[in-house]
Amino acid sequence: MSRTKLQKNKRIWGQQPIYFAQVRPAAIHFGTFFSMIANYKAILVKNSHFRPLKTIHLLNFFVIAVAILDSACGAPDDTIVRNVAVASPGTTELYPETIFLPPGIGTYATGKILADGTAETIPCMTCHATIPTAKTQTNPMDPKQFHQDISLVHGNLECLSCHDRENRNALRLASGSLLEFRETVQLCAQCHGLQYRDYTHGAHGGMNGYWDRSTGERTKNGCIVCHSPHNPKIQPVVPVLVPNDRFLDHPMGETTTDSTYNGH
Amino acid sequence: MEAENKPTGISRRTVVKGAAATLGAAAFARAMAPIMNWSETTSLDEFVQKHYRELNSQEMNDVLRRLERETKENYGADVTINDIKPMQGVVFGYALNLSICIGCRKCAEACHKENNHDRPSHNAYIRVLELDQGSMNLENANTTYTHPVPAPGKYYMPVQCQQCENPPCVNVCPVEATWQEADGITVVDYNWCIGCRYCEAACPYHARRFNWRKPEISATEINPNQAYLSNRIRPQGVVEKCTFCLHRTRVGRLPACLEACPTGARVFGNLLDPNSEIRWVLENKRVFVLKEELGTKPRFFYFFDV
Repeated sequence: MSRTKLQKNKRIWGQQPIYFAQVRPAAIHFGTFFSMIANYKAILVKNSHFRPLKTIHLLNFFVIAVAILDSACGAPDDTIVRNVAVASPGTTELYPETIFLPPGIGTYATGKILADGTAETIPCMTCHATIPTAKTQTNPMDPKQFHQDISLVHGNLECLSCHDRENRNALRLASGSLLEFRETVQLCAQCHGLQYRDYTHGAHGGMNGYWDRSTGERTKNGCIVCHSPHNPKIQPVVPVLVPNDRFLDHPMGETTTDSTYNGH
Repeated sequence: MEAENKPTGISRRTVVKGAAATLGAAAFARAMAPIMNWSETTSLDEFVQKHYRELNSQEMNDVLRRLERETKENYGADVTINDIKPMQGVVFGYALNLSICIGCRKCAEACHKENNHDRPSHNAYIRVLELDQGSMNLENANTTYTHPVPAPGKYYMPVQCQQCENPPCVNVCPVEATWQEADGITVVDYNWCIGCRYCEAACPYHARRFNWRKPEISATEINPNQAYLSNRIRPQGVVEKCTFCLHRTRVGRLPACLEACPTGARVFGNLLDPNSEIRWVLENKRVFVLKEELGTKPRFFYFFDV
């Protein structure tokens, strides 16, 4: 939208309400002039077949026309006081956009709680350095002792589709190159291109912070914040905050039992 | 005999006058009763307060400090109320992806908390409609579902103020208590609103809410970051509406409902900035607006992924 269009719209939006209407002197003069003419014509046609009512319509037309002309002539928008605080959009300096990922990504939680209250995590290779891995492995429950919580429901992928067989501390792209765990968005993007396109344009995935990045920074959720990489379909949740509208008939809350609050 | 006819000193006329005066005084007292009660909740300063757009900066400052004081007295909370003006070169737009909304109502909950809504009524500016897939009959929507979502065969459409370019609610206000600001946000001066609810009836999106009672909210739950035109605690008997969280968005932050959305279905930004996320959505997605045929020109867009 061009700037001239904006100015035009501003004129429409900045309604000049009756309450504030300052009748402009020009309008008064034109109005008086036309009403004088109209009255004169009314006298002239008093006894003729012209009805004075029509003249009054004519008068209305003139007054409205004058008002329209008057407003179109660009009256200063003095009825609305605007203290424009910030004029920042469009500046080149942008605050960073960081991708949030769950803490402990790329490590294994042993289940022990450390003295400072945090969970003990160890790098994957702590165990996998000594555990031989089959070339294909689809069921993470095979080890019987570890990864019991993982159920892989992700198309027909296998563990080694994303994890590297040799270096378990890293992820593996389809091209064969390794990827750090904190770059997991790139891994997902190699299959889910449309989602990645939307994600990079801010139209997929939750975010926090500033819409105006010239004012402040923003944090976007990484893919695995919402989608478990092993079972990416969003699981059903129980909705919160059931409306307690007085017009709605349902058992929630106390206000529906209040007789003074239950009318229709 | 003569003693019986002797005047007692109180004439019939005096009695009638006295009775009339007593009745008159009682009627006057009764007629004045609402004002006596009203004075408990409305200060003289509030009664003589001018319209928002007539207040100069000094008067505005006095009003804001008074409102902060009254919030402290009535709710026991220390709050900051600001008067935040629109940003230059900004018109806000909102888009919502119906393909990924799961109907969890986290947005409504965030609205409820952010905007200091009345707690017992679970009020929020967002109403999430549950609709059958393949239909868009808003009349058959369910808004009070409690089952886990997303339910099979359903989709979810959150509806809030569409911040119309041509708002019918503004036109019907008899006292100019509601108007559209330069950044496209339609706001309400809660201290000027007379509570006639014409705007509520005029809105085709059912986006306005009426404060039937004085909002109940505990001091610890009050959001202290408030603005005169948005989330300060509303008085009883006035209409309120979504302002796209102008106390946040006019300083560059994202609205509360967007930050709360767990799926990222919501996109917010400046319609005048060609590089903004909202513009990318409008240019690359097949967006539509609700009740387009009414000519309200909403700035709230819906789209499905393809």
